[in-house]
Amino acid sequence: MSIENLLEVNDLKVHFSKKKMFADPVVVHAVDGVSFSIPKGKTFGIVGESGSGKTTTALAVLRLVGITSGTVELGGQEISALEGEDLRLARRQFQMVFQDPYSSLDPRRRVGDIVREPMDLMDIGEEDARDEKVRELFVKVGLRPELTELFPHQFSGGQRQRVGLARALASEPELIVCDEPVSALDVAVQAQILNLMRRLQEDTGVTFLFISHDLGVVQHLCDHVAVMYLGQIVEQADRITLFKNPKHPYTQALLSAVPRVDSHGSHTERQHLQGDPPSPINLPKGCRFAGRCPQAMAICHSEPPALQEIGDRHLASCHLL
Amino acid sequence: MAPLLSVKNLLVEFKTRAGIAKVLNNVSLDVHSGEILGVVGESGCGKSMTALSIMGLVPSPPGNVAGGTIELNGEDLLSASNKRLHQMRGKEISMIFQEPMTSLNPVFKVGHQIAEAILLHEKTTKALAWERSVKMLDRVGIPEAAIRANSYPHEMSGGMRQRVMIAIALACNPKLLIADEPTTALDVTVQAQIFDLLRELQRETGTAIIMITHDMGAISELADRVAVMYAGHIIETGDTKDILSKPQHPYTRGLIACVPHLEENPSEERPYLAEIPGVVPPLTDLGKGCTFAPRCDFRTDDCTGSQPSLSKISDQHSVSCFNLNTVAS
Repeated sequence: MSIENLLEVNDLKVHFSKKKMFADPVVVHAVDGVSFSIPKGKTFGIVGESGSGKTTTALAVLRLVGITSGTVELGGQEISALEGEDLRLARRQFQMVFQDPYSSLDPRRRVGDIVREPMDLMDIGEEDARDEKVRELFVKVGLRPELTELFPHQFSGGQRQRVGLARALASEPELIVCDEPVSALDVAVQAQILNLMRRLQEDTGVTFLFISHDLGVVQHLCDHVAVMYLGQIVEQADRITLFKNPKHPYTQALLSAVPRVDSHGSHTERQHLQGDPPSPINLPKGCRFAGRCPQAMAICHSEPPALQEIGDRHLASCHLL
Repeated sequence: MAPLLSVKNLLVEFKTRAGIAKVLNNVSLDVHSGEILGVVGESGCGKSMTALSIMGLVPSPPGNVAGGTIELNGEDLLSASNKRLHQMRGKEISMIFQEPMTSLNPVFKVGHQIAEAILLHEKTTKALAWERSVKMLDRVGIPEAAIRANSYPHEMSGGMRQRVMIAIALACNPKLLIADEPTTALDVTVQAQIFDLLRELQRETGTAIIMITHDMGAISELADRVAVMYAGHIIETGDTKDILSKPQHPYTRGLIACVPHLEENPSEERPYLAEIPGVVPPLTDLGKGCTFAPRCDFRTDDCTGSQPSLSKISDQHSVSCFNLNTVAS
């Protein structure tokens, strides 16, 4: 491959097991064999409904939940194998922006200190220069540098998310994982933050792993997109291919379910999925989507389909293909 | 034809530590039988407060309806007694909320919660009310309704719970249903199911719906007419088609342009999103000019002097802006 991959995730599995008093433990297959890679300086999006495992995938990449099996490599270093102090120091290279800007900033600390903390913890740069660096970061994310003295409650949601981005950038990471960073914001503020993320990427060359349920946002921001359903990637392609030529019935249904502004009056032609996703505890034997799939065949209920390459960097797992 | 619901010049104020917050300013809207009116805007614009005012549920104190009228079928709701309002809620006007988990009672079976609404408003027996609640569950698309009526809310998924909420709201055939962000907490595939259901039920029963949302896509899917709100004012109203294809107010334009809409045919080019600079002003300090003026690209001296009134630009389409000609060109 000509492009250098920053992140390589290989057959990642995260299972949670819940002990029961008088029965065998219950295993939740939150992430069940996920592989993807992100080229340096690009944005990779993971979309899916709640419970699809997209957030758990993000947390596993960040080593914030235990990995059951599989590997995560960042810039050639296998971070899934690191422990203790090695892991702590490696965290400099991968940071996170959270969904809720209200609960992800410590209410008792000044925002300048919040942004400075990663530099203190990782011992980055000269101590005297750090406050100046904080002010530079504030300017970078579109906040006035004198605001560093304020507390989080004095900021609006959009400003807080800017602080969250400044904190993530403080250790100059290669990768920033963003878990639904704009879903708690109003649409006008959402546009400001999305534009800011793109400008930051152009300036610093940072790589984003972007988790979202909003297909419009993902289409706008991401270079490459994976669709998850019940812990597995069902389709993965570059942005243009995925949205123009979706192959998996679930991707097609997901795209058709999004209300569109230009579709007034034409809503009757769409087919909608019935029911809810099955539980990740008792997984169906065949394809996990078979129970809701409008095109399910006999084989779909007995054999799980493999993720296969159906075009240039276009993967899908479906027996129809 | 006289409108089913007529709200005129509604003023709602809240006492806060920072002063009086004017949450609704001269809000006027009509809803006719059998139509779906969409109310759209960002958080804090007053869309939910409009709904609560119609239901007579403005928390008071600190809230206070300071002026205006709300009439349902010619009956004044603001001067109605608590007893009368109690009779009307659930019978004439119903409401469904954003969060189906917190609006159902976790300790009662869902069938019981639907029957409760029926028993409150109609002379009937418990057995008959239960039978009807099973029918309602069936009608909102819950499979094996007779069995599921015995379920508790925690045994159901988010989409199922919202169906139960709709069943409760529609159990007594209300004339008006207010849906306050009914699908915000749900996944898109489930949202599409709920939209289909609302549309189908509305067609069957002729119930008028006020649909409150921040999502222009949802408006486009469901609403016949739209009212766009900003900082307690309705700033533009008209047919959904007109508003979406020919938005006139700079805020409406910004609201439509700043959302990355899903395209079937995305291009390689990705221009930056249009931004509305700044944030919504605090409602305690709106000043006397147009509330949108500080964020508006088309601001002139007129705009800081007074709030423009909502004036008709065609039969159905009204806008409150001083500079419509410059905005259009």
